[in-house]
Order: sequence, then C-alpha cells, then structure tokens
Amino acid sequence: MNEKITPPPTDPAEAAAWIEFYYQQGWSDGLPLVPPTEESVQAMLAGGEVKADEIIGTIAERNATIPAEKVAINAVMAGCLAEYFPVVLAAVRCLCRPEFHYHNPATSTGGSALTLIVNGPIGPELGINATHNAFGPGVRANATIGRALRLVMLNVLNTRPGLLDKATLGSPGKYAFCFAENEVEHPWQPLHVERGFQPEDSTVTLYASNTLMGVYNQLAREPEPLLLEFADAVCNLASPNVYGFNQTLMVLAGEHAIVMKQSGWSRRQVQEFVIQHARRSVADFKRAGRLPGEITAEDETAWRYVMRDPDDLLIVCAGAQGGSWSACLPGWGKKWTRCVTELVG
Amino acid sequence: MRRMVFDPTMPLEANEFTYASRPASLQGLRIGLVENTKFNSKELLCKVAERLEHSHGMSLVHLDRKKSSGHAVSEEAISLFQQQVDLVLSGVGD
Repeated sequence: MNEKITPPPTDPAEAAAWIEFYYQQGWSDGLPLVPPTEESVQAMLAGGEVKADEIIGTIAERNATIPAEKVAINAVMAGCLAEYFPVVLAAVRCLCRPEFHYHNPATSTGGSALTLIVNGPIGPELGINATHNAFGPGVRANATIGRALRLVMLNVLNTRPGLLDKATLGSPGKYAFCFAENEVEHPWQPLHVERGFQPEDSTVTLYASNTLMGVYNQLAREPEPLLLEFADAVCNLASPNVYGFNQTLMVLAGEHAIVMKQSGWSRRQVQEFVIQHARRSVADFKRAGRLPGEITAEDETAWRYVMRDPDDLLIVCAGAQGGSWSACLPGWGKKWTRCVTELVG
Repeated sequence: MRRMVFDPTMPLEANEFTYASRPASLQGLRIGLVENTKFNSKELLCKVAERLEHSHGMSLVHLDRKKSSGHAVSEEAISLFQQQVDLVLSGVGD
C-alpha cells in the first residue's frame, strides 16, 4: 500500500459491483467500464456543447440514428474526460459520412481497425500522444477516445461480434486506435492541411486500416531505399485489396522522418515514387492463387499497381524522434470506403 | 444518493417490408441478377441463371452490378426489376 496516495472516500467494492453490473448487461468491449452518473453524462454533454437529444449523425444503410446522449454515455464508460468529447463527437460524425460507408469496413470479414488521426491544437491541448508509443498504451486520451468510438459502434450501432461485425479475426486495433500527428517533426505540412483545412483548425481523420506493418530500416540515409521498403510492405501478396484501388496510410516516424525532412523531397514526390514501385506482376498473383489461371510469359511483366492516385497514399508523421521504425497500414479498400476528416467543435 | 443505470445502447431498427407475390409456376419467368462485385459473383449467378433457363425455360433479362458488396441495390435497378423481371437472384460469390 502506498501511503503517499490518498484514495477517494468511497468503497472500491461498490465501484467493482457497478462495473460487474455493466459487464452483465453485455455493454462492455471486454474491459471494465466506468459506471456513468447523471453528473458525468451531463458534464460530457457540456464538454461537447451538445444537448442530450441532439442527433450527431445517421447511417442510412444501418437504419441508425445516433443521439448525443448515447455517445456521451459511451464516452463516460470508455473513461473519457469531458474535454475529450468534442473529439469523440467529430469521430462519430466521421463514421456517418456517406463516403466512409460505415457498413462496409465495420461489418466485413476483413475486420478493419478504425484509425483516428488527430490534428491541430487540440492534440497537444488534450495531451493526445503523438510521440513515444503513439500506437500503444499508456495515455488516457488516446486510449479512451479510441475506445469511446468502438463502444458507440458496439452499443449504438450494434456492431457486435457475430451480429453486425462479421470479422474473421478482427484486430487488437479494434479496441482503440487513436493518435495525434507529430506536427513538430513533420517533413511536410500536417495531414489536415494537406486535406484542405487550416493549420489552426483541429480535426479528426477516420481511416479504415486493415492491418499494421512495421517498416524497419536502420541504414537508409536517402529516400529511395526507405521508400522501396514502404512500397514492398504496401504490395505484399497477403494484403486483401492489393489489385489497385486502395488507400494506404504511411506513418513516418523517428529517424525516417528526419531522412525525409533532410532530403528535400516533396510529399508529392514521395507519393509518386511509392505508387510507381508498389506493384506486383500478374504472375505473382497467380502463383499465390490471388488470380485464377495458368501463368503465361506475359504475366511476368504485366503489372498490377496497388494505388493509382497519389492522393491515395496518405502520409502522416507520428512517433518518437529516435528509432528506425515507421509503419504502413494498408487500407480496407478505396472502392468501398474513403478516409474522411471532420473539424473538432 | 440516486442510483441510476444509463443504457448506452440503441435498438436495431428494421424497416417494414412485404414479400412480392409468389408466382404459381417457375416456367418461363424473367430473371434479374444482382451481382455484388465479389470475385465469383457474376460467374456464379450467371451459371444459376443458365441452369434455370434450361430447366424452366426462364430468360435472363437484366444483370445489375452493385457499387460494392456493402452498397444497397440502386433505386434505378429496383425500378427496372419491378417493371421487367419476375425473379431476382443475388448472392455473395466470394
């Protein structure tokens, strides 16, 4: 027992009983929920400057309407502070954008992790982690904002395993996946500015990622070898949507961000280089059984590209300054869902 | 102290619908197909239609290709099916 810490005056057994009660209702993602109170739900609504009965969005293909109060309850249960709520609301509005096409990535056997990228002043203000272990545990804002979105999906949109979530395996990222861009060490302008917002705007970008691959390179001091690794990761034969209509998220981190910053390459140059090299031959696809038919001589030099449009390679900067690790997150599929960005507040 | 339970859920809302009237016979019906863009969808549906043409004298009138497997059938396609088709087949075909 740590005698320097003064615990709250309430009985922890009572809190545990409430947590167990909420488990029994089937409202959890598997982890303990914070039992809401009238005060905490009201504070959450006030934090987002919304009324309880305000409709945050609708999803036609799910016949679903999302009232603010339900979002607030789920945000409290996730462990959010009231000041996080504008970010949660923006994330929910992203879910409802027609071009995101919620039903596809949320329901598919592919089991995509819905990834939240926070940009602008709100990130540092709320302490959303953009540096060490940006994708991992340890920071309340990242964990609870991401979790709140998933709880809304589970409880409000009935995206429950086996019901309206038919993922074969799913992903650990489906518990919570939220990080802020590291705008300080960014080689270029941050994602939200690239997507048409002002630097002083705060935004949330929602992206349906299919998996997360680490990109390691400790020797590259020029863009080309590093980007060849990214291209190789993007077009691996196991990726589901590798035929040429995908969006892909490239996360530059650590020393890789420094290499790109010092190179003088523009974002567009990087996008075009990766697109040009992220390709596999038809023969490769046939050997892997991803395309039917016998392999012909022409198949060896007939190329299928993962992306066509440079804008389909989304590039963000996150993570700590040290280390030779970046990441590549192939998308769940451009044809069926598009990355969307919403203003916070 | 008041003890309140906050329900975080919303019910699944289903639209009301009615089935089309069933034909008395399968003989000579006009077929519509809804292809969902999955890899074998078109192939599978066309083979089923072909068998029905042979076995029951049906005819394939229209094949609609959805925007994706997760998209609903377009209103235009539904309207066309209502006017020109007696039987619509769909399936996953992955």
